Amino acid sequence: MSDVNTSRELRLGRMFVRLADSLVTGFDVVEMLDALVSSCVDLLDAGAAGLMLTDQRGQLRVMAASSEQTRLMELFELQYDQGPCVDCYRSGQPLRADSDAEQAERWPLFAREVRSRGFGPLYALPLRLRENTIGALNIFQLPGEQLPEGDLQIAQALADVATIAILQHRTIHAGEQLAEQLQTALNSRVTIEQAKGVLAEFAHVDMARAFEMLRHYSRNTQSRLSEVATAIASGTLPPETVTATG
Amino acid sequence: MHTLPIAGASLTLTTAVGHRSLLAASDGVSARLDELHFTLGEGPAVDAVSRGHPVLTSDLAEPGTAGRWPAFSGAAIEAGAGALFALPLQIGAVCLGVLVGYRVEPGRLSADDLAQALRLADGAADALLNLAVPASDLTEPDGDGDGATHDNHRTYSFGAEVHQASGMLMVQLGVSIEVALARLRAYAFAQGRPVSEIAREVVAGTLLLERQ
Repeated sequence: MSDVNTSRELRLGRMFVRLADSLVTGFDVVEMLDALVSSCVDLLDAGAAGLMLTDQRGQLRVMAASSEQTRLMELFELQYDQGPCVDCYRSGQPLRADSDAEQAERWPLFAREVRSRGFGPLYALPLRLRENTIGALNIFQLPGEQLPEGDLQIAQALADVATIAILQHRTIHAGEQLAEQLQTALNSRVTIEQAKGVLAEFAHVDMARAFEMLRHYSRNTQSRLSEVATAIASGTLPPETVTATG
Repeated sequence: MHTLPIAGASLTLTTAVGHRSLLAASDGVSARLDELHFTLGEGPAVDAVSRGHPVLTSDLAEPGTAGRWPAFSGAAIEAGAGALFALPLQIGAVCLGVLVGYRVEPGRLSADDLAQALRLADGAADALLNLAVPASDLTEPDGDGDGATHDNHRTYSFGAEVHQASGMLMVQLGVSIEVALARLRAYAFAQGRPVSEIAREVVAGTLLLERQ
């Protein structure tokens, strides 16, 4: 076995340990989903990955993206209301569209964006627990680089563990805890953006750097990213405390 | 229009920690439920506000529910409620208030009911944000005002840059996050332009709002 494969197995193992850990220790949904999409890119050699969750109002929301480019792709998908994530969420089934022609036929507007941004095969995997589909994971590949079936299974396994971690209750009954968990996750995303704005303005840095400061501070103080973000955006944690250590 | 299977509802403002006021109640039971939350300091609405997520209690008489809010659950049943649904009006770090609906008999909300309730809470949050800015800021722009459709001002549908811009304005203007968001919306409204467009300019540093 080559070193590359060994290290991939190690990284894959670490990712599952991290996801499993979140089940027992309590965790930050946004941080976990960020880690999940970057793991997909890293472990599967994928071009890009993005993840959407339902807002329970009839819309999907972008929760994580491996790059700004991917975030835009996900937003296009929502704007056009067509694409693999949207279909996968509605059907609750995994789907793949390898060829340009297939994509153009299924999602004429979205396929054009895929092409113009230099992506090829598309994959979408549901975040599903029994009858509840709560979102979908999108994987964008470079032209001509299809994902092997085994890699898709790994991606689905990551999505499954993430789903269970989001819906962390042992017995999800009839959408009550589901609503609590999902709305909390969606709102954490908003809070983090607010806090990034505060830090960016205060320290005169861009949003990516502001996010690094936020992450750095929460790791140093062993607090959850969303808790730190809430404290900053509600004005109880002065931004200088965070930017000084970042 | 989907009608919610509830007997009554109330809307309560939570402007600061420990400070709250009932804005509207559709009936006596709703008003009584609000009062119980306040006097007992516990219940689904208290948790919804402190945790920032909906608390849906389909059966107040269930042992688990009674254990969670020992004083409230019995008193709420006595007041005439069988089920209670509390939705915070939450925008990131901000909680503007809480929308509470009750049912006489226990029973869950369907996915469609929940979607409708969440949309109502979004609408209430939008309306409350408008209270945070002077009325003059909300005057319709000259011309047909087509640039700003209602949807562009729906807080919940805002993208990341609107929330980032709010955070920036909080520092720039020296205001709270809710006032920052209200100012951003009001400015977009007065200009007849989408909030997302204004937000992008704030994030890019090409637009500065004035301190009031």
